Amino acid sequence: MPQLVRLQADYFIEPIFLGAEDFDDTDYVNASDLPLSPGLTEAIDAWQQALDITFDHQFGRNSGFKTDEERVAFHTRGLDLARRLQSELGSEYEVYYEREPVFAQASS
Amino acid sequence: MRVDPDQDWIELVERERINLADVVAWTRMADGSLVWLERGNQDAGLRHIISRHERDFAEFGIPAGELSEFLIEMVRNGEPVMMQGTRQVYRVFYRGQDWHVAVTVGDNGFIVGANPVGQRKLRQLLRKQNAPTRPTTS
Repeated sequence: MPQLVRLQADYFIEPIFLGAEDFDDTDYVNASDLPLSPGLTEAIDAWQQALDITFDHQFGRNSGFKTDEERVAFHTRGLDLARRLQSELGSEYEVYYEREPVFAQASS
Repeated sequence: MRVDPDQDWIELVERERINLADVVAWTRMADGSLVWLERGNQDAGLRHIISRHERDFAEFGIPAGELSEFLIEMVRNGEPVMMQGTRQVYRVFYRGQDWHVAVTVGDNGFIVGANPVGQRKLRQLLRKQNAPTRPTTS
């Protein structure tokens, strides 16, 4: 049965939720904890940081993207990264972007 | 002199212009600071936590329908046990067992986000916490 991988960013936490076969290993992990290319690992880290910088340390409540365009661009980038994740991880993993399953990006 | 234990909360409500109708729970932490959980929006607060992590909490055994109740219990009775980077990890006893939750809070006490912490992460944090410190050289 494929292992669940969910790409979803939140402030200051590892962006990948891994549903491991051994329940004790189910947790949030960094891209570097998975067998991924350095390029994809760096791209996921940069994507996570793009959200972290929107955190409002002073007031909390005002955290997040200031415009819908920024939010849409962030999620478009995330979906693309999730597809790349599925491509690199192969069929042993089932990758989701947030709540939706994604399919491997066709190689061009 | 009698000190009203809620006076600080009342002052915080006024200072931060908190709409009490939006407050789900608040508490005073072990370090004396006040934190509160609001219904919030898609980027911060209870709505944000549910939309981002409802499924993760469910993977760990907190059903979606109980998540609000669980988070309120965490705010009211959670015990801070360790740090995970900038996030405080709380241990909360809920439905007969201990759970661990990492919480992101603004400097003013507003709870922005919360996510479950699994055994894998706890093991890593404990290893880090118990690691011997490197002796300093003069």
